[in-house]
Amino acid sequence: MPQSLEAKVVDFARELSDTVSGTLPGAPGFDAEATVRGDGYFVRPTGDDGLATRIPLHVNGQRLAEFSAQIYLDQDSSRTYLKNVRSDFAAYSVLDKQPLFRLDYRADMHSAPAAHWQVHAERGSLTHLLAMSQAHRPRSVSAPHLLSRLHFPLGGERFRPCLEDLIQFFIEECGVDPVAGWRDVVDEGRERWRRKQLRSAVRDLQAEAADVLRAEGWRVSPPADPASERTNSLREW
Amino acid sequence: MGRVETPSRESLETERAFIVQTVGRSEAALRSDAVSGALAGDEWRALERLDAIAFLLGETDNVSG
Repeated sequence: MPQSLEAKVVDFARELSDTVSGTLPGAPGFDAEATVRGDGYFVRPTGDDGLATRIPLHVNGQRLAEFSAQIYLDQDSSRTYLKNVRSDFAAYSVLDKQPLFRLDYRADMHSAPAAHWQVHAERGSLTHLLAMSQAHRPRSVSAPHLLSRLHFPLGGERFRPCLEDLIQFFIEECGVDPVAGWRDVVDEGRERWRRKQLRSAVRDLQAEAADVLRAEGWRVSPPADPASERTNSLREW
Repeated sequence: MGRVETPSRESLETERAFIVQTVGRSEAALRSDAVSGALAGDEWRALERLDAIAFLLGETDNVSG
């Protein structure tokens, strides 16, 4: 019997909980809220009070930052699978409670890259460049002088970074305290993610995948009614 | 962990009204301030929840970018 969408969400939330609890000390578990129409889910960490919360980031045991991780799921066109339509990952300072940087994904984003970093910092020379270069189109760019308004592209829907990449960044680049054995959890989760993304890419480009397999010696024959290529994920930034 | 709740439309709208009242200005003003980088610390958390509420209510256009 096929797994219900809700059962899939439960599995997904547990997988996220295992990933963060296996990498970051004191991380809460993930739960989900269903949309009022029952066709989508919002997945986020839950605090002891039962409300949405953030994941603490410690350095030498001191809580210096917080990790906000929120994932929006919707049914795909077949109404069989859940599709990640949006994820918001961000690090916040505990000093001023402002974002430090954000790793966002929006499936329906077209004006900015679907997957992108936003860095909440300033550098005078870049601010100068942006203010000068955007001066001729003031209505199309809001707050052009802010570095945080830049969306650094990250490979689009299929080739964007995963949660595990960000966790490794926190630990190895930012010096955040890890849980013992964190690297295995990150590596295994990243492999799961990339295998899923690869399968999605193969579904998008079946003839391309078949060509590669034939070149490697596989015998592959097309179905009676092959799906047409879906190249949007390759063409959009 | 791994629980799935189904909040009612009424509870989500009540929560949204409470958040807007707490931040002291309209949701549109809050979103506009986010674009211009003018949110105070706790207002980021308010905006995160307002985005989630909009999604849960099926208001897919009303989210921050």
